[in-house]
Amino acid sequence: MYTTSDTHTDAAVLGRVVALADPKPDWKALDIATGSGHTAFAVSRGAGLVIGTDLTREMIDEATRLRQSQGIENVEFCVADAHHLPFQDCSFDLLTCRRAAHHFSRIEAALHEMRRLLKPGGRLVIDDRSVPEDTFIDECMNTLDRYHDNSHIREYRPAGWKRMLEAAGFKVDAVEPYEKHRPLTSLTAGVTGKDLDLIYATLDRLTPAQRDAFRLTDVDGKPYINHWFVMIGARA
Amino acid sequence: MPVNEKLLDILACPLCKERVELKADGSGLKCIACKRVYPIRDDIPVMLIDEAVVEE
Repeated sequence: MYTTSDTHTDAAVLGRVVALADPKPDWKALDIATGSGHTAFAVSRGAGLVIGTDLTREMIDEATRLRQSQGIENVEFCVADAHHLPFQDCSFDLLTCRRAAHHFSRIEAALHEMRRLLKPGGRLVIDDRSVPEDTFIDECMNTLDRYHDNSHIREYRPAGWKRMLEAAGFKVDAVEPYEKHRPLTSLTAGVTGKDLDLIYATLDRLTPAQRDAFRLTDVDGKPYINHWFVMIGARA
Repeated sequence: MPVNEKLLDILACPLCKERVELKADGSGLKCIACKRVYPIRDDIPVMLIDEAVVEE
């Protein structure tokens, strides 16, 4: 199911995460790589308790400030690495992880940790950058994103996600790819020197057909490029 | 605000996955098995293996 950017505002995507998660008042949930906590806060409206973890203290401090300003009382935070999560086995009814897995250096280890933490039948919802089932676009997009941010490890194809999750012991209920047509500045902002040159050199080498596949077009006089995403619902 | 009790109930050592216990002075969480102590800084548990110190 592919849809256009118009229907995938951040609020709509977050709404889909909550719909797939379907949190219940007696549930404990974990939001891995919570960032500033938006997913944790959204899930907390239905769950009993939500724990948010992030590798960096700065993000946890920002999330803690937002929690206080929003008067949320059932979300707690701690600093933790997604590859070595600090919780006892089968601690959670629900795990969420948004826009983070492409930074994980050992995705299999992170998925193994997720599986360990979920109670039998517990739910996992992942939303992340992705690439289509096309080898050239897959490799080219990953290369561009590494030039954009050297902490980018890999964004996976939808079929790759399903395969990895099943190998980690999950039952996959939903794999929903979607796309956003975004300003090229989303790829170049904050990038300088050699990496910026490499982004433009990579784009300049694309054939007309490849440019079409990336939806490299001008919108209101500004260059735009496609970004691929995937939403996944699975169970332990 | 001290560390929430419901969070303390499910926290574990990120390395060996055994239970952790709050130190008497509230400064950290100590693994009952490997004796690593994870610091609590401004009420936030920092559960990173690299930040832990083994206290026998």
